[in-house]
Amino acid sequence: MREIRFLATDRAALFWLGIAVLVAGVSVSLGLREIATQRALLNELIEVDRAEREVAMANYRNWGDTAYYTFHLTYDSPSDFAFAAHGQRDTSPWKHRIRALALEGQIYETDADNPDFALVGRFDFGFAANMLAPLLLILLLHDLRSAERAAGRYELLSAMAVSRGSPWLARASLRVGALMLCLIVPLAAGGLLAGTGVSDVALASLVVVLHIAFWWGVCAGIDRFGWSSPVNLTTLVGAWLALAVVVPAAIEISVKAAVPLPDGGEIMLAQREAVNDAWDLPKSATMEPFVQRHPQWADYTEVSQPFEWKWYYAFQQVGDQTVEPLSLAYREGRMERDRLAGMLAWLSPPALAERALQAIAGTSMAASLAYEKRVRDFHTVLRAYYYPRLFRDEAFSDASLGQRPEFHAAGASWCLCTPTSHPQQRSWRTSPSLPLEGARGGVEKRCSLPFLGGGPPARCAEALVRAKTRATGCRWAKAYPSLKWHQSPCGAIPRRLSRAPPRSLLRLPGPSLHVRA
Amino acid sequence: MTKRLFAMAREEWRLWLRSRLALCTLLIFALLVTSTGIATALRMSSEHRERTEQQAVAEETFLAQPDRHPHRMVHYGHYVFRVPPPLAMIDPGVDSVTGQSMFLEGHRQNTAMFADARASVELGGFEVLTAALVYQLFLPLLLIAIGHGLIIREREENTLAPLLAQGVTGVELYAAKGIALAGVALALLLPLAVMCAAAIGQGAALRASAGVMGLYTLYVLAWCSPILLVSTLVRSRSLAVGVLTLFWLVAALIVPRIAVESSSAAIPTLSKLETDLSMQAELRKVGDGHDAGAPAFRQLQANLLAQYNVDRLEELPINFRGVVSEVAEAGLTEVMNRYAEQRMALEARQAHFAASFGWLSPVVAASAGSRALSGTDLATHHRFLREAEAVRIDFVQSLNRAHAEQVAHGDDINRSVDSESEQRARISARNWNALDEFSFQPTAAGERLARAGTPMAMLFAWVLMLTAAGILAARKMRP
Repeated sequence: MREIRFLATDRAALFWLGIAVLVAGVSVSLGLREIATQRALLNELIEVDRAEREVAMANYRNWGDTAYYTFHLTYDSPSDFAFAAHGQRDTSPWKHRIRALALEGQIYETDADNPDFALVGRFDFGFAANMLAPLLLILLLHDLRSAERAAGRYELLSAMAVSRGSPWLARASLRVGALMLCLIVPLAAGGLLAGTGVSDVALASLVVVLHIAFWWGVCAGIDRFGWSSPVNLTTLVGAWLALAVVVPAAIEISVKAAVPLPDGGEIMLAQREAVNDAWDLPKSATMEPFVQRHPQWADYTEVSQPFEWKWYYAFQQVGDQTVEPLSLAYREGRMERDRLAGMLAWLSPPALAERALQAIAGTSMAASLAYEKRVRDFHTVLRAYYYPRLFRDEAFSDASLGQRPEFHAAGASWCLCTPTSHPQQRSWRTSPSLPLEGARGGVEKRCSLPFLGGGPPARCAEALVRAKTRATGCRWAKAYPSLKWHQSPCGAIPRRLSRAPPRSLLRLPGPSLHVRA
Repeated sequence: MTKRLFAMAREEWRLWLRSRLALCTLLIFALLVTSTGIATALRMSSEHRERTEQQAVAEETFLAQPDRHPHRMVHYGHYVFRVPPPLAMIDPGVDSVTGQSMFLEGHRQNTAMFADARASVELGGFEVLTAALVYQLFLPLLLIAIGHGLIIREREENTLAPLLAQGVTGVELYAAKGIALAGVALALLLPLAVMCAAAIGQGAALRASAGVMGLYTLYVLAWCSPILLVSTLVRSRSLAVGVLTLFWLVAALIVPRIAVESSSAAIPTLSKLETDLSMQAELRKVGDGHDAGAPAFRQLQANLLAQYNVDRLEELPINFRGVVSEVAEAGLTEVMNRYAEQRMALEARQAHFAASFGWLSPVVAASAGSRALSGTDLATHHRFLREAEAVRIDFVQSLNRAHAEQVAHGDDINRSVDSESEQRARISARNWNALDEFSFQPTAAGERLARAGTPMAMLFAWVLMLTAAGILAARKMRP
């Protein structure tokens, strides 16, 4: 109690705490504003993109042109905690416009902000809590004992205390606690405004508390030497410099050296060569590698004219296939770098805390790679939608166009499955919707689904897939066109089920879904 | 008098040499700046080599393409690489956050791809350390650590009164301490001087390198002056070091980011996607160059027929499709350039706005000036974008002209369905020579110095004002 009174009259301490609360408050409000801007931008883009697609729809009446001229906006919506740590959203792309051409030529486009900004970085809560707060703590604690010592009161105070160190412990813990509150209260307020889940805010607060506690330990450790205040402060700032800057820089250099990445420029050059060489090669040079990956189109590879759309899209696909090893190495390298950095970050608590906040906020490198994966998955589904139409030369119709996949933000991407009209193949054409969310890099072999034969209305199928996915969390594999569905025994589904199928239906023994990579 | 000043400064240096703390910090700084300097230099020189090679390869492959339909080459496209200037080894600037290569093709202006930052690791924001950053952020800390007690010490050790009694004036004391601190600060610029010399060895402009040295000299002086001021005014060391650390915290960590935030709030820009989407309607008015039958080209068709006094497109001495491609590309480019220029102007205004925070923090001024002088600032990147666009429109239009002049209209319209027409619609690979060689040159030294003028003036103002304040305070110095 007495210590609280001391703190309340200690102008220097109040000053540092005031700065802490100011910095945290400003960073949270700036973060909220930034995320609101991003949301508004996305909403606008989604609208304009839809309008553009409708224009393209009206202008082109064949599958080849439609696929060529129709772009799809893909994006990574900010999470409701992204205001606290912008992370990779500053430098990595979180929105693309994708079309059914070779993906490797599109996915590396970066729609970045002013490069001067990315260079400096944003003033987000992560920066305030992980970089500035330790310095403020250092300023709060560095002269706790040494000031009393300089004033000649140290021995007296120590002698009067019940146990050695107790007045200092109480005083220090009070200051540390106050600083933690100064950071967490604005964060929680921001969380409340952004509608963040309680668990996220709690977890982030825990990160902040642990990180500050670490720095308290450092301060206490330096304090033991009994140096004067300026020496204490210099040493502590030096420790901050070492842990927050020098160690991360060393980690960065060693991680980059340990995990070399293929040069991005090489991927692009190789991709372009593969795509453009196709024009001068015999058609079979394109169709053979294409069919290897998509055997179901083996019967449709006859190209009689110098230019046919199916051949055009086939060589786009082959272009991607050609650079796949490089592109995969680039992605895996980044993943590996991130994994390694995550391990080495234990050497630098500020870096560790920042990574933890970014992980909670969904703005980490892993989240950025996951978004890239979603774009790739969407592109695969988009291709899978066009291939049957191009290869079988299906008639262009608005109804068929209506089944085209649409990109949805994470957590809400569904595809719908409609049976193919081809009687022999018994394969099901995937179009908009195998739930891409949660799809993993590998391919899941079997995944049961109470299916729906007899050609139920598409909507009904979609609702079922959706409901089933929700109920079981069943992860869907890559939506390859080589999906093979077995006819289901359960026959037609009553129409009224199209919205909310009863659980009993979901528990029906379903047929299996086989996926070939 | 000067002799006395230097004698006093020498005393100070001797004291630092005997102080373990001062020696330690000096040593650590020297180690830090040397290692980051070497690391940055190695990275940038390997980037320089790689990108120069890739540029050569890109040109070779373009020229080595076989006979083709010219429009195929328009889509085959070309790559340009932004080669970093020699001084980038000191300050790589925006190099790591903007892409380094750009794909040039018909009908589109692509963004630069493969920003290094995307392949980087996330460790809290300071993980990419450069020599410039070490000087801008951490040299001040070192100066604070060794310099905050310069005058306070005399006070605390009760040597100030005897000194003043001996006839040393406050201003003299201030000057001597200033010489001592500035001497160390300037000595710490030695590694920078070595790097500048290395950069000159690699072809950096002499004047720009001298500018870098000048800028950082001003910068360290801009930090010496507040340290001396605080040391003169404040009576306790711990308060002095607290105040100076706060000043550093605000100037080095907070103001730069606040500058970014307020600049992005004050001058909103459109993202690339927004720009792309909002110009779609205008682009449609220009017409799609792939579709010579589009209504947008009716007038063109009528004009051409009238000009050559013929009735049908087939009778024209030139290929109408090629003409359409050329006209459409010109129209598209006009629209795209208008949007691109708008965007660049806004970005430049943003950068300018953010740099004006240099009046509030010498760190902001120094980093803006350093990027400008090193030739790695936003303006240089914009020049890269413009030069790349010039290359793009140049080769695309010369291919379109070849399309109009060398490909027969009849072959052109049948090339998708008839193999023989397809063969005849190809033109000789000699036409690919139209591609200009691209090599991105550093900005001229004069222009760089001009761009660094304002930041330098800011730093000069910092030095002047704080030194004046320090001298004023020193005149009133009492024991």
